[in-house]
Amino acid sequence: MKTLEIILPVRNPTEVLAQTAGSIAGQTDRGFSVLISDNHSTKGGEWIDSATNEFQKAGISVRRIKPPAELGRVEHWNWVHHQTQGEWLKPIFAGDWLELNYVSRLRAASAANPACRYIFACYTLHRLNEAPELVSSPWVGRFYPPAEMTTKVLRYGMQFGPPSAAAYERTAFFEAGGYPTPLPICSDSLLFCSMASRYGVFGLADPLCNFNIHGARFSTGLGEKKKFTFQETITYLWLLGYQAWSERTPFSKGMFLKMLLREVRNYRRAIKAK
Amino acid sequence: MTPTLEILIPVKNPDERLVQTAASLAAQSDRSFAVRLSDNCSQTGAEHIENAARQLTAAGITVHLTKTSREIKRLEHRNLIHSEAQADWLKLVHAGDILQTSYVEQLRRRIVEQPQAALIRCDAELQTEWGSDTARAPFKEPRITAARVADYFPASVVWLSHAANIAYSRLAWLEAGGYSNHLPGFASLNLNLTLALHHGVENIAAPLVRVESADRLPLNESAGERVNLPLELWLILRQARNYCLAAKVHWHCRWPWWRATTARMGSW
Repeated sequence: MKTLEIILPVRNPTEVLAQTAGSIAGQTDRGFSVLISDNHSTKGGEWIDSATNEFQKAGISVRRIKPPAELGRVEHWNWVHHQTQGEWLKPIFAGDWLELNYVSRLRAASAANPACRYIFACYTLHRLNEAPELVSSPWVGRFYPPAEMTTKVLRYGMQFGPPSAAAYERTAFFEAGGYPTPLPICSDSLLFCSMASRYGVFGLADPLCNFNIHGARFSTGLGEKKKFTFQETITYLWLLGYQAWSERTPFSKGMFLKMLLREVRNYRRAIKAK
Repeated sequence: MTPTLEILIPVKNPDERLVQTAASLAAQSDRSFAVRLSDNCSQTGAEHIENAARQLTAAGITVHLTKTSREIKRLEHRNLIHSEAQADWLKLVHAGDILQTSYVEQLRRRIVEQPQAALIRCDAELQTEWGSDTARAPFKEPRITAARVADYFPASVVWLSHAANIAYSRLAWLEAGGYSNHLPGFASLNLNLTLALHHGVENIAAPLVRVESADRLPLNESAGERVNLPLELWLILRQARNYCLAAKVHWHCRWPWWRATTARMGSW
């Protein structure tokens, strides 16, 4: 891995930002820089100042930027990626945190797999008033090349975790077309499935990231948006299937259909349970 | 400060049409723009790239010549060249597209008059198999808001489906992320519609661009690729409807997608 930049897009951050900043500042390998982008917050400025100070105290190079106007959530993510200077990028959101050996493990994996342009880590999911849950993936431990991942993605769908568990080459992100804004709930799923099938993927088996569904988070409200989530899921799976068909990539149509039906079944169960 | 404009030309094994495109840029009445010419590891046509760059430089236009580090797909190349650009406004042009001499002048005038604009289209003259045709906007006003885009799309598709007659602010493009690699046939339509639903559309009702695309489908790969345009349109409509519902933009389109596919789609 060449240079690494950690991206921290924030809007009206709360005290949860402190834990995120602490986990970045405490990394055992500090050969990276941090970019904080504030999407015109109306409150929580003190938490951004405090995070900036913490990085500076730890000797980590930090830049603070602001988009020219207030942007949508996914639009802000895309914009901030284009303000980066690192060759590898690692997004993380306020409230999530990294294990202290994350950067060193990421760097080692990248060095051992120079062809790899996208690396994710297994993660621990923290929900309000629930015990932490370890989320693993079958695609860990070695570099899975694109040809192999295309068929896997079209059989199992999203298995790569949220943006806070991901790191990728800057140019790979640009070439892939960023986070698709018309799918605000599933934009990360589509991007990561696309990158895995286009560039291959390496998964870090240890849970090195912590995904925290705290009260101020967009994901907290997803339970009430089951229909939207289902519609977006079906759309992005169709997009992946169509691309594979278009590029004449061999994949099992039957398994793809089975995956779609699985999503329908899960959605119907969720609706019934509600 | 006057907004800067950069014209982006991604090329791969270009032919003499690139020189024609460069000539149309060199002949602009307003030459205060830069050109970014990006070569996607061409194996042939290097002389046309050199000729085009020489012609533009001779006309006093700044040319940035770049080359991808490895061969990438067509739409990835488009995204990469956009990410390298630095100007306030961007305009994608393909080898073979011809801009009328007043294009940049009229575009710049509209940018200055409407500083809030993010997407500006003009009419386009299409060279089709059955002769010349003009892609006009289905409305008469000089601009429509994002909420009104669904009044005209997908009832009519061609006015928004090309890249050559569209220019956008860099900020708008960066927000959108780029062209979708999943839609090789309608990638431009998808991006244009996304931008239109975010920012509305400024329209210059004059055919300022000539598009020579009758003989080639704009696919993502040079060979071996296939498209299903009705399916792509259906996916675009699903995304558009989804975005509008999420962003609370008015989406009242009841137009069945299979009827939309029978609407005119330009040279296809």
